[in-house]
Parts: sequence; C-alpha cells; structure tokens
Amino acid sequence: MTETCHSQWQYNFAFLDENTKRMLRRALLKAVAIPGYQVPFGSREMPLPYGWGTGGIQLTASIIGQDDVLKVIDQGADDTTNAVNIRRFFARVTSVATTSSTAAASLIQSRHRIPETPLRPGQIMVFQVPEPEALRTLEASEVETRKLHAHQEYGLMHVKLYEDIARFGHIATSYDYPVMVNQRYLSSPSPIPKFDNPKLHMSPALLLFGAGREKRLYAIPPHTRVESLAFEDHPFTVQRWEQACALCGSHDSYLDEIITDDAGARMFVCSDTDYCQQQQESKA
Amino acid sequence: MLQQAFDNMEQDCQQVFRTTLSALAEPLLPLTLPCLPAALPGLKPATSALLYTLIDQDVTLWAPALPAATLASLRFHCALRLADTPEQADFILLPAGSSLPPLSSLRAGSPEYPDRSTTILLEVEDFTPQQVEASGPGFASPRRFGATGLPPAFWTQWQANHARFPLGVDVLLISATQLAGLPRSTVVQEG
Repeated sequence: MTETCHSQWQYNFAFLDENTKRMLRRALLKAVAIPGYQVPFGSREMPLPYGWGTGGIQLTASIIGQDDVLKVIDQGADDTTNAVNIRRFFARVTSVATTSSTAAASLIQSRHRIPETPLRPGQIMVFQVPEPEALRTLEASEVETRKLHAHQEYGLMHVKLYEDIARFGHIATSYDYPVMVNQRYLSSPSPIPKFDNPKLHMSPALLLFGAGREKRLYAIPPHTRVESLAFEDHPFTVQRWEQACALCGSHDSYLDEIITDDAGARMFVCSDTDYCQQQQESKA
Repeated sequence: MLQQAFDNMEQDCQQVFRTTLSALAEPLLPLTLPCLPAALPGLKPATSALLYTLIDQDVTLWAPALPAATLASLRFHCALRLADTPEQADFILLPAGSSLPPLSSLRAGSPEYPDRSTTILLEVEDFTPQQVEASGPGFASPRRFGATGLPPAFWTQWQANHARFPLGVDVLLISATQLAGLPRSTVVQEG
C-alpha cells in the first residue's frame, strides 16, 4: 500500500528535495559541533501548518533512511492525532517501518516527551520545538538574544527563576525548563515536562531539536553535560505523584490526570503509552 | 571524462550523511562508510562520497589544484563553486599530503553566529591509536586516537582551535573508506 502511494505520488524520498536535505544536513553537522547553539536554517513550507511539528518533520525528513524504524509520539502517546498523522506521513513518503516500541525504534520524533524506556546508543530523538529561544519571553529581540548567548550572559534567566521563588516559594516552571548544555549555551529543552530534563544529561542517544516557524535547529550530542538551572538553596527537582498509574501501577513514570466524569472523579495514568503497555504485559 | 557518482544518489547520500552525523556526535571514533562511489582522480573514495553528500551550489569549496576530471565531475554532480582563498571557503578539501592552512586564519564564525565557519575535509593515511587522548561532548569516557598522515603540528593547532570555542573550525578526518569527526568541542591532549 505505502509502496504504491510513494511511487504514485512521485514525491521525493521523505518529501523534501535533495537540495533542502543537504542544507538541513549541513546545518545539523554544525549544530552537533556546537552543542545547544541554535543554527538558522531555511525552513520549507510543509503540508501542515506551523505549530504541528514542521521543524521536527523537516529534521526527520533530512536524516531518515530506508533502514530506519520510526516512532512518533505526542505527549508520550503513539495514538494521538499529531503522532498518528506524522507517522502516516513518513510511512507514505518513505515506506520505512514504523513502530510504537521505544526499544525497536532507531528514530523517535517527539512532541514534548522523552520516553520512559531508557534510550540506547545509536538512537536519534527529534524534538518538535515551538520556541527554540529560551530567553525569548525575557527579551523579544533576536539581535539581543544572539548577543546574550555570544557573551554567555544568562543573568536574566536566573532573575526569572528567582522571581518564581520570591513569589511562590519555589521555582514554578514545570515544563520547558531551561538547561545549560555543555556548560556553555542556555537552551530550551522544548516544552518537555521538567520530569524529563534529567534524561537529557549524558543521554546515550543523539538529541536533535527543530523549530519550523522559528527556522532554528540545535542538538545535544550523546554523553553531553546538560544541567537544569537552579540555585544552591533551591536545587532542581522533578514532579512526583502520590498516586501510581491506574492502569499499570507504575510509580516511576510521568502521570497524566484524566477527568472521568462530571462529578470530579479522576484517574492518573502513564503519559507514555508504550511504557504503560509494557508494564501491564509484564504483570499479566 | 566524467566519473560516475553514487548508484542511487538519494539513498547513498543519506547513508553517508548519517555516518557523518554519527562521526561528529561521537568524535574520533572511526566509522566505515556504508557505501562508496568510484574514487575521483586524486581523492580517496570516502572523500568523494562526502563531497557528493555535502557540496552543492549554496556553498563554496577551496582545494589545492585538483585534476581536471575531478573538477569536471564535481561541477557536474554537485554544481561545485570554488572559493578563491581558503579564508573565504565554507568547505576546505585537503587531499593526502597537502599542506594545512593555519587553522586560525580560516573562517571560525562570529560570536553571534559561530555556525558560519569552515568545515575541513582532511585526508589521512590511516587511523592508528595512541597519539592523543580526547574528551568532550560525545565521549562517554576519554578516548585515545591517532592518525597517520596528519599535517605536522596538527594537534597543537587543534588545541588553539578548541580554545576559541564556540568559534572554530570543524574537521572530518578521512581515510580510504573510513571517517572520524573532529568537532571544535573536542578537547585533545597530546601524549
């Protein structure tokens, strides 16, 4: 089926033309050489709107090959709209194998989660990034933020975190929590929950970030130091739940709260559907 | 006389790119290229593969004098544009035995845009261990590395290049069939 579609539509392999792929590939090589630094690239019009993962899709399209096994997740789930459509898009334009298993995948495109199953060497994760500039809410000008990065002048962000503490008594940023990559560049980990931030540190997998509307890509190579910003007296912490997952009983995974009726009943389940299913199967 | 490039440009370039990406993600770990084209005259097969994968009309390349057949093939397959001097080039190709321009004279990017820097394709004889110990992003633990046929004082120049981080040039070390990446982030200690 997918084979027929591919030849019938006459799209180039992975949709993008070879010139665009080369441009993206050269940018990716520079991104890996300068961990955490945002490399500008010529973002193309994709067959879906900005905000639906065009940056991630362009990165995936420039690196995917026939031997890859692709997994796409949206908030941890393999079966939500964004994930299903991106997976189907690549199945059509590349005919590669797709999977929902983290362990079986060689390439994982993600909207805002890192799988619970530890990544392994050789895997590549592609993150869809809405706003690559961690400092953007604090400084609107790209010219200025470029200078701040050039001078490694990140006091603004520390002041923001401090204001959280002054106002709420703790750092209230719970997702898109800023990180220092390789002790040099302040970077946005994309809006992953801060629960996932520790997985960025010394990850065995290559992590690539693409922002289509903002036309920037950046990378965290494997085995690279990634520190979440914090203060000595207010160390970085991740979310914890009193509940276990209602489906698999896991105490270690990131939980979504689901409202089950209009009387206030609710349940907590794993955000990572593949992990949750594995846990259920291993208990069955 | 034009040389034939890859049998399947689209798939083979993707394979070579993925190897290059891995090589820079895990520096100084020699990787064998999964597919090689016929070697261009005066160049190693792996070098030809990288040129087909990375070069097009959007970038400039500087190289010492290359055989006319090689230039003609690269113009045909990659729409090659030559830079007048190494200082202007996006890519610098150094076939085995050619002399290395001072790394500090090459495009290293600007503080705001350190990515606007040169990538050097540097041919070596072979990868042998025990010249340097390297660490940095991409190293789970320090790795020993060496290459025969490197330009003299290369590692001394490299240390100065790394000291300018995030500015600097990046190097792809190329043997006949293998590739090792050397991004500017890599810290190298001799001995």
